[in-house]
Amino acid sequence: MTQYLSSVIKAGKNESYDVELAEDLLKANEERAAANRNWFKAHGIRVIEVIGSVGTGKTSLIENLVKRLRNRFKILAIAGDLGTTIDSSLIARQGVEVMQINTGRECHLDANLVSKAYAKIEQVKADLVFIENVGNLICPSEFPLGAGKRVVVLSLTEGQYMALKHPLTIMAADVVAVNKMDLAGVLDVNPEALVRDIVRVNPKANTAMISCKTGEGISKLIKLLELQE
Amino acid sequence: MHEFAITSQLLETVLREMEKHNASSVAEVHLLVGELTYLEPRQIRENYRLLTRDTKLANSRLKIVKSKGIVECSTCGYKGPIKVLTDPEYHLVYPTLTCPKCGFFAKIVRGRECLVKRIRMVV
Repeated sequence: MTQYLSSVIKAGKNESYDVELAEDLLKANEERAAANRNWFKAHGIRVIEVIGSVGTGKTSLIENLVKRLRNRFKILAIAGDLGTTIDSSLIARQGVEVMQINTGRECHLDANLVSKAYAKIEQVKADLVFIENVGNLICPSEFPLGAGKRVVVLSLTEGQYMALKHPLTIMAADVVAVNKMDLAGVLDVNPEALVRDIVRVNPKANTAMISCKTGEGISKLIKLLELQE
Repeated sequence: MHEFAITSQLLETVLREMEKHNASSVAEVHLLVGELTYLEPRQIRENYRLLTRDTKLANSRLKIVKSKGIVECSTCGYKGPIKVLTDPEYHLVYPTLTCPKCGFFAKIVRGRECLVKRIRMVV
C-alpha cells in the first residue's frame, strides 16, 4: 500500500488538478427513499403518494379514498404544505389520523421529511399511509419518497394539455387520476384526449376518470391502487 | 424550481472535496444535468453565482453539460435515445416511454441525473 502511495504524483503549490467524481445530487434523496420503502415494507405498511397542481383535488381524493377504506385499514394521512394545516384538518373530518408536514418555502416533500413520520406511523399503528405532496406538478416528481404507488392527479379545469406539458411527471406516475369529471359537460375539454396523451407519454401508467364530488371512478382507482377487498 | 436546493447541495459537495484535498481554491466545477430532469442549467448557474458570492468559491467557474435521455426496453432489448414526439400545431416536443423500436414500454436508464463530474482544484 505504501509503495502505491509513494508513486502518486501530487500537485505543487498553486498548481491545479482535477478531482474526478460521479456524485449524483439527486441520489441522496433516492437513497433515503429506498430506506423509507424498506422500512414501510418491513412494517407491512402500504404507502400511496399523491401529486398534483394546486386545486386539482388531492385532498378531496384522499378524503374520498379514506371514506371508503377506513373500515378496513388503520389509516394515517400525511399532508404536505408550505405552512398551513388546512389539508390535514379537512382529512381529519373523516375520522382518521392525520399528520401535517410543513416545508416552509420548499416546493416539494423529500424522503428525509417523510422519514420523520416513522414515530407517528408506529404510534397510531397505521397499515395504510397516504402522503399528499405540496401542490405542485413539477418538483415533487423529482423527489421520490419511498411510496409503493404514486398517483398523479390532473383535473379537467386545468385544461386538456396537462399530460403533454408535464411529461416528466407523468412518466414518474403509476396511476394518473383525471378529476372533476362531473364538469365534463360544461367545460370545453375532451377527457378522452387527455387520457390518450397520458398513455402516449407513459404506456405503463394506469388511468382513472374520477369525480371527487360525485364519487365516480373512485372504486376503479381503489382497484388500480391494489387496495380493493 | 428546486435549483436552489440542488445548488446548495452542490456547494456542500465542492467544499467537502476542497477540504479533503487541502485545496486553496477551486477553478472549475463540472456538472452533468440529465435532460429528463426538471433542472434548468441557467438557473443552476445563477444560483451558483449568488451562493458563492463573497465565499472562497467566488472565482470558480461552473460548467454544465446536458446528458441525453437513454431508455432500455425489456421486450425487444432496445437501448438508446428516448423517443421524442412532436406536435407542430402547438410547438410541442415531448419525450415518451414508448419503445422507439417495438412500441412497448421502455425504462429510463439515463437522463435523470445531476452529476458532479469533476472539480478542478488549486493546491
